[in-house]
Amino acid sequence: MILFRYSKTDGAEFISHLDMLKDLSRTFRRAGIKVGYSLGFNPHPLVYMSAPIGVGVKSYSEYCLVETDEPPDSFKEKFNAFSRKGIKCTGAWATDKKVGVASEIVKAEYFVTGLSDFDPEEVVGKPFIITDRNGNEKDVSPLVYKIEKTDGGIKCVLGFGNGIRIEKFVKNLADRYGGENVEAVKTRGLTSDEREFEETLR
Amino acid sequence: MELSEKLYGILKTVEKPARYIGGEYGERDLKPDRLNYCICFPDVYEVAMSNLSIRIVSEVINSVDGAICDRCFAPWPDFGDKLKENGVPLYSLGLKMPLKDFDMIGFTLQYEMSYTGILYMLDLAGIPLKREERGEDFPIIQAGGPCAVNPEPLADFIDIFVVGDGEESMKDLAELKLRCRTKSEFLEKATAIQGVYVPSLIEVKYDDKGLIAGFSGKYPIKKSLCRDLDSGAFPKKMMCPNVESVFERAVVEVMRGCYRGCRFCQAGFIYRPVRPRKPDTLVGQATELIKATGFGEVGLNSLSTGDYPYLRELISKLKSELPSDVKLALPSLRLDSFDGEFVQESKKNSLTFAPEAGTQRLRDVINKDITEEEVERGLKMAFDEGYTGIKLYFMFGLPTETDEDVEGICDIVDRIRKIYSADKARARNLRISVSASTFIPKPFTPFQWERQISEEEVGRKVGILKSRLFGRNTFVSWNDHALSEIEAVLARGDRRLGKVILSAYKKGCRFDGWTEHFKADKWNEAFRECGVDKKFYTREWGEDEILPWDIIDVFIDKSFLKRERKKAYAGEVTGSCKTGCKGCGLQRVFRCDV
Repeated sequence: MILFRYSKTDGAEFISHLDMLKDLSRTFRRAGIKVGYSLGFNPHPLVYMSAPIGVGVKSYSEYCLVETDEPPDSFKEKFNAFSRKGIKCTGAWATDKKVGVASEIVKAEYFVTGLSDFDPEEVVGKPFIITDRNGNEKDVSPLVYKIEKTDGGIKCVLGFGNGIRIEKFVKNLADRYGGENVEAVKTRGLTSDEREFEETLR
Repeated sequence: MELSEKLYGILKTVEKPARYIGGEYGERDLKPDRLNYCICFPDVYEVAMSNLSIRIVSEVINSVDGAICDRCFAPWPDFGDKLKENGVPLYSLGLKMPLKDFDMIGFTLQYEMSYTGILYMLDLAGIPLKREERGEDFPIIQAGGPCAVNPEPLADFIDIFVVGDGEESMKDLAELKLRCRTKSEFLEKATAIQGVYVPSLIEVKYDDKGLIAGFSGKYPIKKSLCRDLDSGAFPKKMMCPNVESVFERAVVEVMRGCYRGCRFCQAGFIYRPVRPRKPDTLVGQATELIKATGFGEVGLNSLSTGDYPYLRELISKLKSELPSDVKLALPSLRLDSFDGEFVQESKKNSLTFAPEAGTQRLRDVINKDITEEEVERGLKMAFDEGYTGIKLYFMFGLPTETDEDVEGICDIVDRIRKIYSADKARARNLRISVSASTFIPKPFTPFQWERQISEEEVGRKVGILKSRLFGRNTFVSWNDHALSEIEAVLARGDRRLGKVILSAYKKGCRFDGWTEHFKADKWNEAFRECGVDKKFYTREWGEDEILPWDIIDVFIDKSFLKRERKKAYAGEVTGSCKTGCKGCGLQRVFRCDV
């Protein structure tokens, strides 16, 4: 099996999770990367993706696990020769265990630009109420792990795939503190102990 | 080309924004050239990206030196409204260039209910809707596709129509445009190209009863004909859609035209003559497309793929040439061509068949040359293959239809159930869905003079179906009559409908083919305010009346259509071209290979 990390930018951030799954399968076929299929009535390619990222959020750190015998180096090369605009493999590793890309990547690091200056202390550890699409209010503060000012923006670590959406979080901050052309980019997909996911292979 | 910051912001607020960003895998790298053409599909991305004809046109235009072809589709209302609010003009997907900066814009007319979509797109682009209001500064608005055989309802909006096959005519048109300085020079010279109709050069006269009295100008306009489809333009690449689309497969066109001549079917006549491609050509195209796209399925498209003369050879060659996990899809299979070996390879849960009519008598009337035994044999084979669902298409209101024919639909359903349950090993219940649409008389068919039945008549027929079929694991659906009625009016419409279409659009009609957007009340208001009576168009027409589409010649003789109509009333089957030439008219201009 191959675990690989890819970036989703340059327009590709607008591709939905399900369409992305199809796109990956097509990329493998175009690239001549042989992928294992499930057994059963309707065989489907054995491709596992990390939890969905919001449509429109750029990412430099999406993960995918795929059943293939292709060695990592040639995988990366072939994939990038045939991937769509905005999708680029930035790392590939061989593994013989079926790592849980969806279940183990439970945190993510984002870089947020465009927000007006504010004190992170006012946010981290304080109730943070977000309204979901059904109009229910929810305190997501247990999923806000870290907010740090850095050059040109802020770096934050939030929960991933477990009830907090970066788009909502950032919009809330913008409503509270102001900002212009606020944008969050996912920079790292992390395990619960905040290691980059590929480190779990070692 | 990149998206502006403003647009980027809008995209984050709309549904499925990937429809508006281009950048698909397989997208051509375009640079503006001397002739910038934009092909437009007046419906949403998912529908447009599944269409083959716009890809053929793009291929043709892009092959002309100095010309490029970009594309643009109708934005879903949420995005359309936001574009308007923010003052962002509608733009092409490749170059992200405002539509109004193109030299020429071509709309494909695939179905009548997309006509308001044309006005919607022009409006969003900031282009005046009526051709008279567009001077030299605006692009030339062109249209083509199957509905162009009766171009008249759109004559107020379109500068130039291309009727018939686009393979050669569109190339000639692009080359001519490159040589012309002004719009008027181009339009005048374009009439020399076969298939070209310029509505400003023809006038329609009416008599005091409102019937057409005649035309002035040069007509009939002969449709453009691609004589050698095998070497005709065909795209070697296709794009992989950014969002899930209606069809996501590599499509090859195995043949154009249909041998059958079902008397209600417009496609069966206007796409004549039948022109099959060679199996080797198709295998080459299919393998190249799969390599270029990574699709997992090849679609063998045509009006009746089961009639393709070299189907066995083609399928066995495809199976040996394509990667083993690539499936074949054969849409448009007729029941009688259903053969154990030819079964669809994709999901075997539901099968679609179109007997069209409930009794043998009525099937003879419409020249649907298929017998009950053939239907049953085909179905048994399908059930043996593991199908557990079946979709049946019928039509209400075909000429000579009686209640007995409607009862016949129920009888067919009963018989299918019996065939299915004859084998006790078939564990699951058979799901049957019966879909009945209202017959719409279409130009260039033997039924072009027929009336369309009324809402009350449809209601009664639906009642018969419901009383016999409801509840027994059978789903019955039928068309919204208001929609079928407007489709019928537009299909046989004349120039006087231009103002109705415009008024309906201004009242908010767009995406009329989508039930959730179709606004019957607004359409009816538009007809009333414009003083146009729908019944004038849905009535039975006289065979000696001058028809709005008499200005177009698709090489089918009117006398042949009249003969076919007579035979229909006598319940006589004409049968397929394969059983000998029936003299429809094409034989005078083309040597059909049957």
